[in-house]
Amino acid sequence: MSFLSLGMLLFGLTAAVPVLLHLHHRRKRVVTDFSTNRFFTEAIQRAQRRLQLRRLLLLLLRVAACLLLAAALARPMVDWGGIGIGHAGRRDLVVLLDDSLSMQAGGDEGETGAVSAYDRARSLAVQALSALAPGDRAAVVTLSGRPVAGGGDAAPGLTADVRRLADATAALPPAEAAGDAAAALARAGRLLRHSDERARLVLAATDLQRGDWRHSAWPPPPRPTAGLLAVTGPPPGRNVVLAGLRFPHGEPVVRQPALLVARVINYAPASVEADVVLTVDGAGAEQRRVTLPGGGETELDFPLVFEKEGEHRLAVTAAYADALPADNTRYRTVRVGPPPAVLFVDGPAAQPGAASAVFYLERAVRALGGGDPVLPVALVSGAALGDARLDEYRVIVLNANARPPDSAVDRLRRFVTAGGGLLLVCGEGADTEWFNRTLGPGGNGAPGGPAPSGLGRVVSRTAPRTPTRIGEIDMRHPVFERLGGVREGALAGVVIHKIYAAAPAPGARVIAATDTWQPLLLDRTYGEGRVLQITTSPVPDWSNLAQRKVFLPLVSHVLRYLAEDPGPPPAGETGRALEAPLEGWEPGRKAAVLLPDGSRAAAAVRLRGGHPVMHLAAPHVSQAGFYRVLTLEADDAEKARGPALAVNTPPAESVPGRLDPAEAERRAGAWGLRVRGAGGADTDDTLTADLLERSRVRRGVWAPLLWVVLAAVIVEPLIANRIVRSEP
Amino acid sequence: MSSPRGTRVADPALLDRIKGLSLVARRVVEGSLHGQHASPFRGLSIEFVQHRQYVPGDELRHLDWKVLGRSDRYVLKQYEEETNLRALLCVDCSRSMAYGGGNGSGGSKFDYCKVVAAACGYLMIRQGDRVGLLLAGETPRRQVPPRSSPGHLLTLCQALETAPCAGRNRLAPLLQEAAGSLRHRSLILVFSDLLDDPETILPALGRLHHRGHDVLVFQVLDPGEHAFELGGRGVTVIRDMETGAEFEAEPELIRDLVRAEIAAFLRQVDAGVRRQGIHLVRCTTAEPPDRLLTRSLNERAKLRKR
Repeated sequence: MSFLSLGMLLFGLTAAVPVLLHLHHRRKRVVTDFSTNRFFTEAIQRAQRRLQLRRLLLLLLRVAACLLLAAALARPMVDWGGIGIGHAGRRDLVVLLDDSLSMQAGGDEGETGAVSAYDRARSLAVQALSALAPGDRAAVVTLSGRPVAGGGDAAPGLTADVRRLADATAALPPAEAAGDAAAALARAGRLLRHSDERARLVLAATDLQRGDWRHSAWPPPPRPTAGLLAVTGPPPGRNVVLAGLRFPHGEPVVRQPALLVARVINYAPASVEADVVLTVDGAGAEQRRVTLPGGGETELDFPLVFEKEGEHRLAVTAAYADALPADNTRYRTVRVGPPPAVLFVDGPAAQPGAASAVFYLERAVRALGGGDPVLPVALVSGAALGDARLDEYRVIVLNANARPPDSAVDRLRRFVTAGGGLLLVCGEGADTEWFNRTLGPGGNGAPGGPAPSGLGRVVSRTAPRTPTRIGEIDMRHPVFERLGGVREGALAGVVIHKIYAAAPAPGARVIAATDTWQPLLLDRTYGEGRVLQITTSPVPDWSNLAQRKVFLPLVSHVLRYLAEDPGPPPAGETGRALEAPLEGWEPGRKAAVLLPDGSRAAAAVRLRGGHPVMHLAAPHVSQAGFYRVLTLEADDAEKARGPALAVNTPPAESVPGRLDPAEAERRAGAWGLRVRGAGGADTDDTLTADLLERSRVRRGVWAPLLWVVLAAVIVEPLIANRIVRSEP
Repeated sequence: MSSPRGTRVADPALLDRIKGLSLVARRVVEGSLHGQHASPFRGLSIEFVQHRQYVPGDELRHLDWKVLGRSDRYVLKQYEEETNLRALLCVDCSRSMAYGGGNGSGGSKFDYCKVVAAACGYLMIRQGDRVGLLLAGETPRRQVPPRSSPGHLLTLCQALETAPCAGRNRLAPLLQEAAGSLRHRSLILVFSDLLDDPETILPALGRLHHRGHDVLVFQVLDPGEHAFELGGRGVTVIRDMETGAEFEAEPELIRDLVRAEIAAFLRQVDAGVRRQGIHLVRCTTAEPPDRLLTRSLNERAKLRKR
């Protein structure tokens, strides 16, 4: 039973009035002396008890009348189909149509060419809609969030034009987006929330793929709700997926070798062979034939050299006929820019002929390119720093023994403030007094330098004592994040013999420390620039850092971090809104997006932090591929072409796992849904008949309640009058 | 005769209104003084009735000397003697008599009875009768011996005024006790509500009557008691004034039933006294005492003429 006007149940509190009056009446009793009680015979006492019983009945009648009136005003609905009283309601049906990418798989094993799960689901939805009676209402909610029988972002509500809705559903193509069952259920709940006078029906047609349905909690349904959860097919079984494309060494720079890694997963139980094809800017660049073990995955390296700066579109496709072709291709855009120039500033050697820290660092940079430096580098002495053109460099590596003049230090400070990167290497020959005075963060009101930390004494720990190692690493810092977990263990072999004691400045961040809690690598934002400070040196007397394999990638990531590697350009996922910053956009202009199929879709322009951002609504992002941002004049003429945005299918849609059947039964049961399998004996007709049979027609019973109340109102004075008369 | 104006129960106005009345015994009562009442004894008196043969042992002072002188016969003269009335005022002092005072009746049943008893005493003393008083309370029993002196009225009134009204009804045993102790036939005036078991009170009254006493019963009720008008609404705990027993009821719901019970009780009392030949005067405290006395004495006069 449910109530249409639940608040009217508060009227039931009036039932307390006769009770309170009764109690008050009893509490008000008085003691009266009478000459004798001899006249109160047994007959009178029986009559008195009889009258009291009648009075109690009258009280119960009054209370019941109040409660029944409150219940009637609250307009109760019962779902006892055969009760035979009240008036029958109509049906409201919400079809949860799973149009996610996984539904495109077909056959028992997700074979290509078979009837897809989506085709079955759509057919069942159309059949159920067509079976509704006149006066019934319906809505179709897709798991991808696309509206049906509506336009734009506006989510359509329940409509009585069921035939038009069925036609729109029959014409709805599958989406390549992820499904969100919880959101769809919440939407269905909102649609049915006000269907109190009608039977609430839900038909969910889905493959129950775990990625769509695994949400830990489904929203609570409006009660009562009944219906079916029809499993129209299995999630994709035999499926090869291009799961990701990445440049592990950072975004490529022009004319420098870059490494593209493609991750390929085989979800099929048997091994498969597939040709993996790389296309750059639409032209085939490389093809590999790979053998993927059943349930295994592999990473393919594609060395690339981009000869031109600017945007390039990459696509890697696993040419394999599987259940879900849409996830066989992965798209990515890359913005190839010039390499960041690095200026090394070194001081005099501590001992004649001895190599300094800069020596090791420069060699490391050169080694990244296989002998030729991948980054343009220059080397100057500290004294010559004042003459160098700092604006030609993105990063300056300063050895603390360089001791440039104060004027050069001021220029260095301005360089960092303006956005340059600075790496401070504090090792052999460092003048701590000069360092703290000129570059140190300052204190006692002194103007602070860019260094994240001042330098203290040298802490030395050499053999035979236990060597100092790296104890703490902030793996969330971009330097170590890019280094990746695979190389995390390589840092464990680093032995530090000498290290400067450091006191981090306010705002500085220790991203690596020794196992004795000495800060080893510190980060600080200074003005617009970044400053990293290492409190030891790669020279052998100080550490074995230069002898470790991790040294080169670590140097590379440090320099890229300081040079502010822009990272991968914005990308998107099918079924989700697409956003990208609009460069050069001016007020009055409009934005549009050229879709992968060549059509154009209008995009909104929003301001985020004062910067214009293009926003393409989720329904338009239905295909994987490249989306080109366009800037339009007021008359929709194309003004300029913006960046291309890669949109890929959601990885979760490619996973073959299905929600555990017991779990599915439990969750569906909470919604009043019975889990049924589509196909075989369960045809669309039988499922539709089952669905409609479960549509318990709810009836409003307030009218009979009002009749009962009226009868009580009529009977009440009769009883009350009989009591007052108290006939002998 | 002067009125006992110093006492509260003998209302002077009431006494003025009733002093023209005479209380006449319906039956012949025995008295030691000459009065208005016919004596059952043939003895010393004024009214000659007959002669009787002298037998040894008769008092010589009753010998008719004139007959002896003329005929030499020894005969005695017998006269019908008018005696003074010996009356006993028996007032019920049980707790139930304290009921009343509402409905404009002016006082409780006990107050009413005291006024009426004092008035009766006044009347009888005024005509030379001897009046005694028995306060039928629980304990201790109090009795004023009969006297006819004018000052005795003051004694009666003081005794009535100071009489307590408490305890259970012990009228029946006291009346039985009085029946055994009264040597002379007397007029016994009983002032009570008679709200006791009729099976005990009526035999006691009947025993007095059978011993030759003239019994006049004033059954005094409160108007509210008679009509069972307790006032108020709702649940009421009705407490028996004598026993303290409680009965929870809604008076308006059982009023008619109780009225019927009271009527049945009164019918039973009426039948009982009629069977015993006892004169019962029923009244409520709403009736003025002088009117009650007038009514009751007129009734007695009619009965006497029969």
